[in-house]
Amino acid sequence: MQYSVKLESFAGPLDLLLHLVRKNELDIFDIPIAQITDDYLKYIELVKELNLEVAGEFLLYASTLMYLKSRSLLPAEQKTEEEILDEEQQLQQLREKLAEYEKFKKLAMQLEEKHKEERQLFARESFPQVEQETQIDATLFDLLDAFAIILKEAQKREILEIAEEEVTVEDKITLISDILKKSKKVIFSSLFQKAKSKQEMVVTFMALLELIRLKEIKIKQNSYLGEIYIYLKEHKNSKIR
Amino acid sequence: MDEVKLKNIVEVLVFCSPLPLKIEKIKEITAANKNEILQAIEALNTDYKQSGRSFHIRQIAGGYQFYTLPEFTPYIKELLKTKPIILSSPALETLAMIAYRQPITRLEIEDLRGVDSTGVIRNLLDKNLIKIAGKKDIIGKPFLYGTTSLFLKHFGLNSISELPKIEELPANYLKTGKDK
Repeated sequence: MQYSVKLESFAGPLDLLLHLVRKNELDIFDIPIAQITDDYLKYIELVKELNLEVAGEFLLYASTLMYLKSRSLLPAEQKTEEEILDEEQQLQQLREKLAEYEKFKKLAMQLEEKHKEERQLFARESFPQVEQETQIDATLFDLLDAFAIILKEAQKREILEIAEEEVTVEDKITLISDILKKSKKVIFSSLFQKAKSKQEMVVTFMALLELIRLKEIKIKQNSYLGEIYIYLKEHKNSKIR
Repeated sequence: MDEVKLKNIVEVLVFCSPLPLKIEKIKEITAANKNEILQAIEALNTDYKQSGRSFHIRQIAGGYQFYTLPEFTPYIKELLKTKPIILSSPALETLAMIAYRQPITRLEIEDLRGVDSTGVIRNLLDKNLIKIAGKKDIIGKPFLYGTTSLFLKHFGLNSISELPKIEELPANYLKTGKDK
């Protein structure tokens, strides 16, 4: 059995409308509103049948289209001048939006071409960003796993828990921030190497969690289960005056 | 300073610069004028071409940088194993709108696209292709977005003015129906 229905996904209602206009080789400035409305609704129905979510924007355009369609079916003599004007205005707005959207679609395609060409060329530069590009965001679970391993290792080393000055989470936050300000990135496990007690390790870990919560740092790893790196987060907001 | 020496200095400066090197910076260091520097770069590129080298100096994102020639791409890809930035079509159309209409607010983008664009914009910000370029002086002071120099690099442009031209629209098309 073969399904002839091909479900494409559209970026938005304008994307879908433009697709329908192009598919039927219509002119944006002379759209048969009844036909396009039916096609549009068919697509929405199909998406619904497949139990996919229909974004609100699609429904908003559906209602505009249905209104315009119903108006277009009324004989002209039954409409007031004002109504005709309003109808024409709404249609015109739709045409403009479509034309404008199509313009950017074309520009986007041109940009993509340039992007493709550019991907074939390499600049001579220091390549640290190559490393970063291949990095993935580490999740909280990755972090917990890594911490569990460190704690296990520490137990093997039999750290003596000497009662000493208590280190607070605040102290550790300051310490980690200072390290990161100097060296930009730090390997997760290296933060625990100098810890003198299990308690200090836990405090360090809590400090990290707090920094993540405050969005001061980001955690990355080179591969799944790979070494975890901690970076200072560059604040986009700080770019604004 | 004689021509050969200037040529060598320009070469070494571009060679060591981690970013596209601005001509002003070369002027500052060499005390040569703009014309002399441009000639030096041209002479270098002629040298590379004549001796069949695999790279040249290219004007990009408002500066000069060494770039590989396209025929060596497969080997370099093997070496670097880079994952190229792949942009989805919503990301590309949004980027096009920002590039041509900057500075632009999120609402203006959403009006053009007819769909919520929060996620796409955040994605482009994360990829460092766009930046917050300020705040619009209207109620709510929404952020204005613009493109970055990384955008220029990724799309092989020296400046925003090199963007492919928007084809002319019919003259009447923005007027009809809009006023009133």
